[in-house]
Amino acid sequence: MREIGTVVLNEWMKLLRRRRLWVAGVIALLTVGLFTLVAIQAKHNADSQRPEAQLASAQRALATLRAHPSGDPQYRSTVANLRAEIAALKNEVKSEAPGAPWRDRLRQQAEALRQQMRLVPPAERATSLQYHESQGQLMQTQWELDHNVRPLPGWVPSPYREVTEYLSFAVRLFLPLMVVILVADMVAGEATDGTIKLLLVRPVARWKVLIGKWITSLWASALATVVVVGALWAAGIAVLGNTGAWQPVWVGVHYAWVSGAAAGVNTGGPGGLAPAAGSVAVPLYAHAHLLPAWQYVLASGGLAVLAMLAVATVAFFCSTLFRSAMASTGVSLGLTIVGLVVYELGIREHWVVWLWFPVHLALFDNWNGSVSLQAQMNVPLGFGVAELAAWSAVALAVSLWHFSRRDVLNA
Amino acid sequence: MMSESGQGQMPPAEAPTVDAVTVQVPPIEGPVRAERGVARVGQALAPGTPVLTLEHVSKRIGSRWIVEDVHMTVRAGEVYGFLGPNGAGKTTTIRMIVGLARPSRGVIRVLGHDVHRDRSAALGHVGTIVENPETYRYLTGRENLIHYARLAGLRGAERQRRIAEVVDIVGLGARIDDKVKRYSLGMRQRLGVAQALLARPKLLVLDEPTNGLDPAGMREFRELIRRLAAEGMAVFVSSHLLSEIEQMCDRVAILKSGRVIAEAKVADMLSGRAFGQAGGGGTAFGHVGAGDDGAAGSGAAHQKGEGAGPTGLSRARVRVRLHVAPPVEALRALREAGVEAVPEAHGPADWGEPGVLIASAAPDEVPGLVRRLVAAGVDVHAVQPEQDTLEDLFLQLTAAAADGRGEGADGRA
Repeated sequence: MREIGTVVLNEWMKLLRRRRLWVAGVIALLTVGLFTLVAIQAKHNADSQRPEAQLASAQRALATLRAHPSGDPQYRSTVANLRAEIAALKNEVKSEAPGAPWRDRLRQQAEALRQQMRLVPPAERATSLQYHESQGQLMQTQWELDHNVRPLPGWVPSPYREVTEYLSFAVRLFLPLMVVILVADMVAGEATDGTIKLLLVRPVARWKVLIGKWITSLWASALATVVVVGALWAAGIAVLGNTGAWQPVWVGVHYAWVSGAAAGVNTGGPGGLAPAAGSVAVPLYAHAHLLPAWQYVLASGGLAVLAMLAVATVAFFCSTLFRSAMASTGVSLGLTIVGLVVYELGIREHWVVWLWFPVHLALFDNWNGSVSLQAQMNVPLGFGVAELAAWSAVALAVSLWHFSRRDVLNA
Repeated sequence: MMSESGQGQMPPAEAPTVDAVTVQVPPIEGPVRAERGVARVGQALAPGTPVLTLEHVSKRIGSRWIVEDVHMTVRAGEVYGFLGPNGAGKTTTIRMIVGLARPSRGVIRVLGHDVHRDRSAALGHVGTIVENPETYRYLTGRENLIHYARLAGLRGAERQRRIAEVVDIVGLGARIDDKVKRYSLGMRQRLGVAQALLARPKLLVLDEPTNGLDPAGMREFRELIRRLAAEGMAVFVSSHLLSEIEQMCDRVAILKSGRVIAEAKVADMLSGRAFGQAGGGGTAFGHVGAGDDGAAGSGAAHQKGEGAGPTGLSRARVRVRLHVAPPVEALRALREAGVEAVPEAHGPADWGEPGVLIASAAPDEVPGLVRRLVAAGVDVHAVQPEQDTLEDLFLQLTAAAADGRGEGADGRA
């Protein structure tokens, strides 16, 4: 153990002096910078969408119309529409006012949802889309009442929502790039520079050298990921304010894929084309529960770290296998890009979901069910974790086997 | 640093002449580090103690045997040279010795510990420079040494002290905190020596150690190696610079096509005793077997018989430098007499002036040779017989032992 610790100390010293650390830092900076832009954009959009702004613009439009009356038959209906819109917007502004009785509104909403659920005949409930969606909304309303969390209007941007949405993408591209840059030369770099010779003539077993390097890779990747997620969070709060920390987020949602008829959905168009069997995803909430957004973001950060450990291990494997730092970095980067493309294009293929670990990099999307929705099969959190763990275990085992046997003759 | 002693003569290892400023390897305080099996005894080993032994070591890469059945014993207090043309398997052998490659057959031991079974015990006694000592360019010299010292199990104050010592030995003091990428090649070599000495090795394995050193640096290096040997270290050194080996080593092994074709004391080789200079037929050299441990002190030299025939060295020739004018005439005269002669490498610029020819002749032929030159109207300014160099021996040996197997195709020495 002590020798592995020694190797880890050494590897940290080297890692902190390498230019790659700066490259990884630049990628991290770009990742956070891009998110800041996204958040600023969201803030601007929200400003134009706030009901007060919409009300004012509708009122201006009405005033303009009435200043120039015309005999156009459309005129009267346009004015009538604008009036109705203004009335609705006034209602919205009132209900969103700080002192509005939102709990009463939620209770009414809950009652309405119960009514809707009762309308579904018991025999059809198991596959009914409406029944299950209402059930989910009811659970959420009930949760908000129980936890005294006032729902955030849809137009209000929340840094928590923005961070998780951005992270879904970042964890498939930016973070893996950063990790690959950090890790892909851990072993290959030593072979390229020739330093591996003087490293491996020390009285320390090769497997200990490799494990020490691997631990350092994991440590650095985890640290970098934590820093980036933390910076995203901080940037989001800085731009958008700390809103929506307690808003509920679903996790553990499963789905059943049933025919449109069984789901009770009339998706058949005028042509009467019924949707194929298994085409409607009915959410199942039996194992689902709600988390406050801040807990969800925290957990997502943790899951992102876990996923990046897997990426680091696979990049480390490439680093052990290839003798050129360039080849190792290139292959790892290629894997990341191909991983993203295959995820986007091939996720409907079940074998891809079963065999291709990059599908599961956004583990929190496995958790909240959105990967399942995309893949049209249930891919829960445990599935993703198991797949990443399996890839990592195989990668590490092969690395160890190869590294402790190989002859260093050419480096 | 190490320039205050003599002009590069080799002090015989058996009679160490260690002057006051030499590297004193201080005994290590504290208990033997039993947990890693690295017995760090402070005292130097008694001269002659076998430190490195290779027994029947062979290495196959793909279907080719790069190294075949190599036996060697390197003893405390001696500098053992390892020669061979490119592709002979030198580097492969050295990398097997330091644990970078695994022998396909045979055993390599350092102080009795199998390098590949009992790695940490064996390699704890070994300091290594493999070709260019590639240290971490983005670290400073000191950080590099800290890195290697940690892996040698040195800690805390002991580590600091030892790093200061080796920095002092190689004379890197002023630049030790600079990044290695700003070092010259010579300084990197010094850093390479420093890291090799860190763990107070009993065996130093050096592959082409003087690459990139200027002549003064080479001499310092040579002196350092001699001093370390005098203090009881065993030094195993390969070099393509035969003059280096000649000046540095006590014994030499010559490797060709993966086999040791000759092994002898350098002094014997040069005096001709090893290869029977005057007589015919040469000595029938036996191989230094694993059980032949007395060989090191006996002065016996051995050539491994590949086909056991005469080696072409039955009547060793010497090189004679002839300062003659005009050289063209001299060359013609010599060639007519059947004497091999060539203008000296740098060549006379003007063939009318006295020039230098190198002729190859047996010592008893020299007077007749001079008479011929004079008869041909050539002015003979000087005749300088040169001692046979190791290089000559080496070339003759490796040519004589050519056995039709291709030179190494792998480009490694």
